[in-house]
Amino acid sequence: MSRTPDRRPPLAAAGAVLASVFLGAALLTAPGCAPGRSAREGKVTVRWVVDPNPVRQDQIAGFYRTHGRGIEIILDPDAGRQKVLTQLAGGIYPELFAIYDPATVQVFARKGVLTDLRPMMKRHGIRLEDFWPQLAPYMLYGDQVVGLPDNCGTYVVFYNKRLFREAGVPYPREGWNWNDLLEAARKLTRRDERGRTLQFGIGYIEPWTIFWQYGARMYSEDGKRCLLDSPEAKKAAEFWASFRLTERVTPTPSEEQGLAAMGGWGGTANLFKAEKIAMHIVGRWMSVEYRKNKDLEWDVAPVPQTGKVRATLLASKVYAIPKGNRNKEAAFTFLKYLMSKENQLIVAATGDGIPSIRAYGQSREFLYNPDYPNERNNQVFLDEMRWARPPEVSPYISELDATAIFNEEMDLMWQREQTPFQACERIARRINAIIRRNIANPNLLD
Amino acid sequence: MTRRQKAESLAAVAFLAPNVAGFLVFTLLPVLGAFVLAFTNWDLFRPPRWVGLFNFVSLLGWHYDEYAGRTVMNDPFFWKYVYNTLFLMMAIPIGIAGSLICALLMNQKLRGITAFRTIYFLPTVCSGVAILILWKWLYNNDIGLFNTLIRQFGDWIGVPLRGPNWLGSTEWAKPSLMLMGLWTGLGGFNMILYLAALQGVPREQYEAAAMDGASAWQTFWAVTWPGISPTTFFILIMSVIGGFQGGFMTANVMTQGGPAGSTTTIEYYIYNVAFTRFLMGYASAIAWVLFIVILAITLLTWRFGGRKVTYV
Repeated sequence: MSRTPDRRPPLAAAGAVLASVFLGAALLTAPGCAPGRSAREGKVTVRWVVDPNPVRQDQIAGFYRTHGRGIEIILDPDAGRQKVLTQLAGGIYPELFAIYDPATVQVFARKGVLTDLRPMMKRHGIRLEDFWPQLAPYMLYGDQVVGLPDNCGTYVVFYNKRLFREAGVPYPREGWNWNDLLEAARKLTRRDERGRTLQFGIGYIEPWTIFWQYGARMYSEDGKRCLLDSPEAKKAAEFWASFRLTERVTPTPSEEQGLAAMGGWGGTANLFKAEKIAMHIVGRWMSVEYRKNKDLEWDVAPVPQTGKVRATLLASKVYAIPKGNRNKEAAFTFLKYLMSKENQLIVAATGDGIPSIRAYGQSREFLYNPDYPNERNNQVFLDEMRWARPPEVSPYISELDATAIFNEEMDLMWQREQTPFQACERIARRINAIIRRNIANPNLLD
Repeated sequence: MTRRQKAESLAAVAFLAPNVAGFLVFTLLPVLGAFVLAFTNWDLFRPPRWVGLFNFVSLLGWHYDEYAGRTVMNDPFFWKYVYNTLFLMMAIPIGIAGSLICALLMNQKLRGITAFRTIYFLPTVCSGVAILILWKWLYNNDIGLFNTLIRQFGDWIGVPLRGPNWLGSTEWAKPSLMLMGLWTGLGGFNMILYLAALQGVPREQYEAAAMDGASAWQTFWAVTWPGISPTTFFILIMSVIGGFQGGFMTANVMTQGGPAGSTTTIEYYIYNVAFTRFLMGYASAIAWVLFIVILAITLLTWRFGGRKVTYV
């Protein structure tokens, strides 16, 4: 028997639809746990936003060992600036989050979202002068301390000993220069009969080590001028570009992708692990990855010199406490642990860079770990610290604008659409135009 | 109005309410909010500061740079990305023509035609990101399928051939994305719309054309093309709007807007300004300029293109 649709009240159906919508909305917007409190009543949680390095688990375990389980550490393994800024803007404050470069520290600090750690440092006896002084740009905003690092890393040359031996190339040593490195890279680059590269001498080199060594600077001391149009910068750019453009001992991005299909996964670190590149200039934290490949025979050497200026890149990350979070004391308790001997020695032992506090960086535990007897050259990381520099920043331009311009012009250089000289001139001209504009209109700065 | 009519009207309103509420809360309010924000400087952390037309002047204006000795745009990035967006939109007429050809082919009474329609439609229902990653590999300069085939063809004819650096060169990056877009879009919704339109052209008109001795070509131009013109008009307007608003996913997954910014579109620029630099006021200003441009072009298309439409 068919039912007559006109006898059904349409409002009932509509009401049901509306009710489900509102019920769904209510469920979706139901309040969760209060921030900073775990499901188990009374326990304080510290959400730690940081990279997903496996070492983090060791550090959390170390904290529980020394402090018990009164404070629960929740690892949030995504330290992207965008995500953190969105969370902060939405009032969802992590207790502790990592910042990976001085420019981003300045951005956060300018926005007024970072806690000045000086009062808590004073109370807990953490002294600024105990850290490597080169880390100041990462830690300070004006006279405030806005972040504390637990590790850092000077850029050195990681090299594959087996590939060096097979190519009959002597291992790098103190005092070698860039021509020595280039010569080694040539011998370590292997191509098939069609000219396709099977193994590269060296992975992509961060430009600043070379630029600084040539006496070039990105910005003037006051940050009001980009100096990449200087003769020193142009010469440095020409040499830096030659690794890819004329010597072809460094892979292009598409060659990296191509090599990935032959055993690596793309990216310089993975290609080094897969023995597709023989040298990689990077910081000690890569040891964590390289130790995973038991068959990989590697060692480290200082970056080559030009004979003009000694310099290498210094990388670090600081942990900051956002102003809005309600668990500052708990966050600082964990932060204090990260600065403690226990954690600093975890950093030393696991290969996650150099301990940020000088005394632990220079300790025996850092210099030699019996679990990794082949790593006998850790002194190299400390030696390079003497002339290590953090990336340059200018307060008059967003580093995102500067990076976009730098990458755009360098892309044209990689495409051979302009020379390294022209690239440097155009970068300086464009960046200086924006700096002048921003000085005239500070509203355009973030 | 009878009680029954009232009840039905109420029911209709009730059924529409969730969607309307969603539109008001999640579309209209943010759009109006963005309009207000366009006149402020706001980074999400500090309270917005009223700056009047400053964002629009910074975006669209120019100034004399005494150091450079010439007039320069206040925001040189923006104009470059406008050019990129317009360049990529040049694929729209080719895409529309391709969809129409596909629809004509799929409108045959052949065995298994449904399977063909499904195959052509597949890229539309596949994950966009997966397709982009697949094409990124196809385009790889060294081991990608395209360049491998070009090399092998060269070997076969005895001439050393090397394919272009598809995504890695400023000359080829945009055409590469356009080519990929054509592959993805040919058998998509536009083809489905055309199929429906073709099946809606009255049969009597075809019969009359056949009786008059019209060739297939004449029949297409005299019967089919006017018959499907409302659909063509709709597809054109939607494609132009989509073209101005497009490019984010492609840039984000395949090229990060490079090389040298050559695949950054206005949409990707808005995203970067808003969510990496947190210049919400400035991003809102760009979005509103884009909205006004789209509105103006749509009205012009409506005004002049509408005359060409035949409603049967």
